[in-house]
Amino acid sequence: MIIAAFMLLTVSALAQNGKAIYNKYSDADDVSAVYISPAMFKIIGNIPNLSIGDDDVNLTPVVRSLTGFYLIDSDNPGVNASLRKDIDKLLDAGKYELLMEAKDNGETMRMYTIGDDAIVTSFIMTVVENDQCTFIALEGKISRDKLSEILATAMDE
Amino acid sequence: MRTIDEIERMSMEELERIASSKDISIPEGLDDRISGTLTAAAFHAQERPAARTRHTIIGIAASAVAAACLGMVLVKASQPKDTFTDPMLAYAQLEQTFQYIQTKMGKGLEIAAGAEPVIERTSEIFNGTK
Repeated sequence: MIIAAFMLLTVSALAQNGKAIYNKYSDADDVSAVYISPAMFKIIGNIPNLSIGDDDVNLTPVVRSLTGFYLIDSDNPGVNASLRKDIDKLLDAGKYELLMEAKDNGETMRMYTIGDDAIVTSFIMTVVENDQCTFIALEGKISRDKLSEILATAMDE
Repeated sequence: MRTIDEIERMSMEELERIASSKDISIPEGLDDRISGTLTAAAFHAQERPAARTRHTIIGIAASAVAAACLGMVLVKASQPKDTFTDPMLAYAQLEQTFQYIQTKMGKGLEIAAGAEPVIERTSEIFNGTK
């Protein structure tokens, strides 16, 4: 019985990820939520001529390496407090590296990644401003170079 | 036949005398029955730890299987549904999100760039005092 309880706790601990946060808050009031599954990413990856804006940047290599996309955008102050705590728990549990933090006019933005020099397995961005909290999580085996290239190209616009 | 109380009150010499006496007859098969009982007791004593270990292993395995099944049910039940059924809409959301990330990243880099003159000046002062 003790071993069964321990194994259940292990299973629940493993579920502390973007999916767990999405499942918890996606149906709350004043919360917008988006989820894209691995199957949908496979379909998107087969769409030809993907690009951002007018530049001929191919998003396909990144899309094909994604296995999950979770977005939570909350305007509910009650949800925001709980959401921030769960995000902190998620970040503490995983070996996330803080990529960037920026504070400007009451808005705090943070970006985190997990991975090695070549591959990013999880990317998280949080934006907290007054009564709004946004959580974005990308999961997969994303080439760090490709991700940097796409973001750098987008910033050149 | 003596009672147990009488036997307990007898001395060792008396007990030895009675034991060596040839007048007392031992019931037939008693020796075999005692040997059999002792042998069976010894066998069961050896078997008990093995049976206990077997039962423990079976219990652990059953708990593990039950926990694994429950875990699989919970994980499957928690699988969310795609927000979009149209892949083009899903891609449009992805593109919009990347642009949002870019905007926020750009703002962060702007703030960092604004601090650059201060950092350079600080560095000059520090190097000047060295």
